[in-house]
Amino acid sequence: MAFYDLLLDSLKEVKGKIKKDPLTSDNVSGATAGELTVISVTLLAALLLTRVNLLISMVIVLILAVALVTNLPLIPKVIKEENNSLDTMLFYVILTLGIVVCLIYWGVGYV
Amino acid sequence: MNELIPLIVIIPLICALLLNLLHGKNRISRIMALIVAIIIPIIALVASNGLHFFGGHAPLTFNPSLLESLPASLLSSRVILFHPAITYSLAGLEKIFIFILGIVIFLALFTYFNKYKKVSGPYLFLIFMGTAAVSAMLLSDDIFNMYIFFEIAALTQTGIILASNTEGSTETALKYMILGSIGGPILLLGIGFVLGVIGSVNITDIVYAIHTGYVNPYSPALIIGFAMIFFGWLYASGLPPFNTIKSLIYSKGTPESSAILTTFSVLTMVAFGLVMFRIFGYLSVYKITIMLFSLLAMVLGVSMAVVQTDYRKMLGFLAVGELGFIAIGFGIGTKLSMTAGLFQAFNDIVITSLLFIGFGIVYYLTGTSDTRKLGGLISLNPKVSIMILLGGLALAGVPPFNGFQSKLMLVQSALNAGFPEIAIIIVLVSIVVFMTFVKAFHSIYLKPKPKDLGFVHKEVPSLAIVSIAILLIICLVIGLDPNLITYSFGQYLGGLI
Amino acid sequence: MIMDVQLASLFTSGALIVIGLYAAIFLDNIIKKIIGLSFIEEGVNLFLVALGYKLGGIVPIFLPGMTKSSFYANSAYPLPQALVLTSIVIGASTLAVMLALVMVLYKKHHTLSTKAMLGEDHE
Repeated sequence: MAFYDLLLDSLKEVKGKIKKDPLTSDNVSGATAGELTVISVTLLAALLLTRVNLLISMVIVLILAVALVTNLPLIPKVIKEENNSLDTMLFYVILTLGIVVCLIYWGVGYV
Repeated sequence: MNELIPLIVIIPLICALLLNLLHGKNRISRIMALIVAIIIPIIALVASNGLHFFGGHAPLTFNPSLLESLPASLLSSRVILFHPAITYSLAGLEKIFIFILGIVIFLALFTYFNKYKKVSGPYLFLIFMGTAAVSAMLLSDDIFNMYIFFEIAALTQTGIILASNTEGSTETALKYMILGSIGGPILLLGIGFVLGVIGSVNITDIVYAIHTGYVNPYSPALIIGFAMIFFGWLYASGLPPFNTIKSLIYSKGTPESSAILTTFSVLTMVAFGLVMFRIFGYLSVYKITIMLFSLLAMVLGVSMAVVQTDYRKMLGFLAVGELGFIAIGFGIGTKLSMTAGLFQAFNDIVITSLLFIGFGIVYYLTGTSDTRKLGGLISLNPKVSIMILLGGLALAGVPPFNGFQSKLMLVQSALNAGFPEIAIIIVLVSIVVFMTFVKAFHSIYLKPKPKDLGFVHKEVPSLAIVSIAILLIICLVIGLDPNLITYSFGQYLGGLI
Repeated sequence: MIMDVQLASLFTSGALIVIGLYAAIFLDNIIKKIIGLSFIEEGVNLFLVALGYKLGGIVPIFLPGMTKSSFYANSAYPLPQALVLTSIVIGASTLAVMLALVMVLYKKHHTLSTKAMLGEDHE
């Protein structure tokens, strides 16, 4: 039951954090659908790692599941990061440039 | 040499320059723009397949008289196969994409002319310049030529956003240019690395040099070149981390501008994606990175779309999320999955243009894009509402429309290639797309009309209805017989895989 | 590693690109950001030109009085220069459009700070 309370509390947090004005039900239903999508797609994508090494992938999936569930109102965090400010966009662009170059350059030797 | 092939690029370019000069003369501008917009798909269908060498400089193997006069040491080397000139190639795939580009431009111009009394010459200049640039990107077999036209297309996209003159469009245009000035030069740097290793910018020569072992396929410079070109591709198409700016662009534009912009983005993605596949498809890390970014695009696009209350922003995020479906087709890498990805790109162009123009009608009628303030519009014009609903069903993948056929092909190819997780993800994201669309449709059309809803215009513009009807007919026809399109794609890919 | 002209040019182009990236990301004044973006483009152009270098090479123009074999042996690679010409023009036009947009935005917001102008959308 403690998990159910955790879920209810996180839904109330979602409701509070999305908008300040009175909500209709479509915002919260959309946010819940978004939560489920993000959690399920992330876990399924992590399952793709089973081809690399079974043990590591299981560890990663468990860590991801715990991390996602403990930070449960995920959609407000995603919305906050996907804002329209140039600084956030530039940060993610440069982060991605670094990740892409490192992943491709050192990944060729391993895969 | 086929003389009609460069005309596909030259005619829109000349028309763009003339329309800029004819700014202010309404009647001539309209007639000329519509004529050129219908000529482009006709030339694309009529021209025969083949290669065109600019300047007439064919490779030495095509020129036996010149070949005789060369020393014997050259005759036996690989030099005789190299392409000295810029080469344009037209095959079934390019024909189909340029045809649908022409149709979308024609219908968008139709809608634009119906709405405004005076047409703007510079705006038409930008549209036709962008059309010429995107056609050249699809046709060209020279990677630097593609980069030049890509930069032209990026500049014209900025201009089209500025011309829409909505709230915050100037800031959005500047943000797009700043991010583009990081993405574009990195792409050029990648092209420079490939040029440095191989010594040619012609794609056929590059592929030949890598696959026959003329250069080391795993040389570090080539791998870094791939990383840079991949990053430039992320910018060109609108995959993460550029999904925010692309969806912002779509939501800030006027409806026909957004339809045109999304067509340009998808075609740029297809052009550069095919080039990357031809040159670097042998690397296994290629598939992994594309799969990673496509999954990210799908999940970010859909999860942001589902919480929006502004239907233009929702549509912008959905359009960016659809790019993830195209990219996953490229990422899985088999012939069936790439055919499915290209088919999904074609459907994406048709369906997103339909939805942008359709929701643009709602904005034209009511002047607001907030779904909380709208309602009950189905009583105003039921036919348009049903057409928009059918367009949304096509987006989500409901039979008998084309979205169903392409998504089914994607799922089948993922299962055949041994990736059941990806198949589940594709189905899941399609379900959420369906839910998003039905939510928006209900808020705009079906729920009871709020009392304070005022209408800016009472009449639905008739030419916009014609545009939507034509696109919906294309969706239905392709959905019932997908072989019309996938046959040419399969033929093109059969030569590559 | 002998530091000849080509290697020095390649290092310089790398330095230009890194400085440009730093300026484009970390500086707040919009004009400084645009100067940084211009640095990135020029750095890439320098990289392309440096690819065509040949030690002890001649300009790739076939003058009367040269033999074909000596020309082939000594000329620098002519392709990158042609590419860079177009690229410089593109850099100049994007710079012009960006500066024009900055002028329009300055009249609207009366500040050159990126945080104020291009920050969160004011809807």
